[in-house]
Amino acid sequence: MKKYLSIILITLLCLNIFVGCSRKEDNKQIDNENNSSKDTLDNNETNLKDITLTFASWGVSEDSTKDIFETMAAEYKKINPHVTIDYISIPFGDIKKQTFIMSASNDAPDIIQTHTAWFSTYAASDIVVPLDDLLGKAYVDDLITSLRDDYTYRGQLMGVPWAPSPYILYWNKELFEQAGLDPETPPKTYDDMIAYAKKIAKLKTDNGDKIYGFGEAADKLPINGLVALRNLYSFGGSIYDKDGNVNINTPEVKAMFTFYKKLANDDLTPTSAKLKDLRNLFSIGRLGMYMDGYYGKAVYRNLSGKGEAFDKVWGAALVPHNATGESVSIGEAHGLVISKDCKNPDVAADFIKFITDKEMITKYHQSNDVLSARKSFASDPDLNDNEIAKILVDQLNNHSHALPPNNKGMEQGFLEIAGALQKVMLVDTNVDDVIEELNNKLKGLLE
Amino acid sequence: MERILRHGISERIKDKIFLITILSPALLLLCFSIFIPILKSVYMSFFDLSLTNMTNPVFNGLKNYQEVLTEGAFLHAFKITVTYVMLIVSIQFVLGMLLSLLLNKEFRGRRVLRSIVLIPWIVPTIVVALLWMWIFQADYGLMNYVLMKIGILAEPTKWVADPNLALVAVIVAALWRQLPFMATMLLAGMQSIPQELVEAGTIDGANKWQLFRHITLPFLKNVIKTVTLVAIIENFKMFPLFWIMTAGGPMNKTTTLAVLSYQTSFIELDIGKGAAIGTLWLIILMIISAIYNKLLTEK
Repeated sequence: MKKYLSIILITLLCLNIFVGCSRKEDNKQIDNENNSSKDTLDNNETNLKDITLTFASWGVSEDSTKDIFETMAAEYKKINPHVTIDYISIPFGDIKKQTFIMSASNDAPDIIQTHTAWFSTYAASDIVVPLDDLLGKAYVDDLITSLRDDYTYRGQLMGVPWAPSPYILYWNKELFEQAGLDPETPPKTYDDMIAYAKKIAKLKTDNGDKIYGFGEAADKLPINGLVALRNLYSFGGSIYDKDGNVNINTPEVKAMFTFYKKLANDDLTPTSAKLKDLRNLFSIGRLGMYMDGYYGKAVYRNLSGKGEAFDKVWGAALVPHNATGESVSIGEAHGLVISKDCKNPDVAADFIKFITDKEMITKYHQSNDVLSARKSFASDPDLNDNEIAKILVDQLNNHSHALPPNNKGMEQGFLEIAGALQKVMLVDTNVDDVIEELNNKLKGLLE
Repeated sequence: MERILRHGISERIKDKIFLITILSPALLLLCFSIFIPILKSVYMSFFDLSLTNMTNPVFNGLKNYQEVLTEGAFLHAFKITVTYVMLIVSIQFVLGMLLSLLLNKEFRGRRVLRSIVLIPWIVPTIVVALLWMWIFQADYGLMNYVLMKIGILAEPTKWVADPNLALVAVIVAALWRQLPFMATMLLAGMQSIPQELVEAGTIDGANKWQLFRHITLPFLKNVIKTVTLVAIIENFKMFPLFWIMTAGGPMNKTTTLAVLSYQTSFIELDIGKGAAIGTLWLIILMIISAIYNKLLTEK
């Protein structure tokens, strides 16, 4: 009797599992049908149906930006009460992988925050939709040309550059003073910068810890390959030759790799560092100079333990001149893409317009120093309200080179460049051999 | 037959039906959570399939396997994996045995020490990875600070950034996490050894090494076989420690099969090739487990 009872119970359990699964499927189907009908209604009766837009972002969980993200959602709801922004928090390092996996299940968030270093992978994929028609010609034409090109793939705008930033030079005035340098005068050339870095690198902290003169991020990450382009361009180099073919077997590229090698050999920079390591070291007075976007200030204030008072300790300047004889940097941007799974792309596009318009960008700027990618107000006084902002705007608008055109192998290419940097910095690998190997890899990836 | 006819179904068949029924929920769960994903992964390994374009998989036969086996990265990752597994399991076994011998002795505070020893095992692997990444950080990590304070190091060592030390750093972190499990299992085995045998050996004049060699080790054989096999499997598929501490670097010096499979699938987004690496990795692990079982099984 007990056996029969057990069998009945177990059979019921198994049936329950199956019913549960199929019920979930049924619900999904019902949801899809509802969504379909909702779409139809939305087309006819906009503003009447409640809409939830999912927005995958790393900024929503970061201390320095979460408040402004909440403000954006709340402000948008005020003027569009039927639209709710539902943030999905995913860390910076995981967002690409997670959103691609979600998309493989046809469940990608409606809007995804991305970064220039991996945007090419999104652009070349089938998980995002072109934005030209959704945003309209006037909006697209208003984007700063170089940033618009960075978010274009095969002639179509596939993402919106948002919160752009160039890389500029940051220096620690206290360390300059301790090294016998003028704390108010940043280096004007790369040669000066290295000479200053050598002096700073002779210093020690009160605890006897090492102080680095000039930091370059070279951990094996795509973003560090992207950042290396800043140095590559300043040496007058390029990934492509004048005929558009990959060719890094040039004296300029060799000069760039030699620069990194010397930084490591002279112990001026921490090797295998991430940008966040450089920010940390800069905040605790163990790094004299490094190059970064607008992102550092909040980190410095927080990690230094001095808050706003730490702003007096550091200065920012245009990137020093190098082989080209002028300041050369690159711009990057946090981008926004709309996924193919988005049921209301027109509403998603409207939200993107809202958070990139002057009012919202100004609020974002006031909390985090971000710039605008819109020509019509990128240089407005509201966004140029302090010395750092002026330097950032000047560097972005006048001294930043465009990135190579988007290509489905570009992100992997950036990763290979970062890997090549490690080879010259961590072990005594011959620069020519590294360039030769990298050249072959990039040809395979980009051509 | 007569019995079957008389009672409808024999008791034996009834028992079998009962057995199958009672196991079916567990089998169903295993089927959904293990067998189907494995079969799906093997299936995907025969396709040209990228996460950037999941809608158009193209059957490409053995091309993924051919590429994986000829590119060199797989062999390199396999060597790193085997090196890591051999080192961690052998060091863990020796230290685990010493620790269990110590904990098996009667001394004051033994119970407290046994509890303390278990702490690293309770900590999730991801937390362990983050903790040791901070400890080994070259510029503000604890390891360099302590070693420099006590005069062992004159300059900071770049533990996880040094191609020659990165694997060692991961092994140390893994050892800290896994040693309690090994020691606890061996200790449990030791406590089942009949004390009369030890006393008889002692009366016969056996020294400590002889007691260990001829009584403790033979009695622990099955436990040793099980825990070392578990350790081999656990470490052969170790991913979080490597990914968080080194991400396979520097210069691929810590790129194991787990890391390579992940990089190929989720960084290069080549799901087909990643699945091929995963399938080869599974086959290798099964072969190693079978050989290990065969070697340690008594005839």
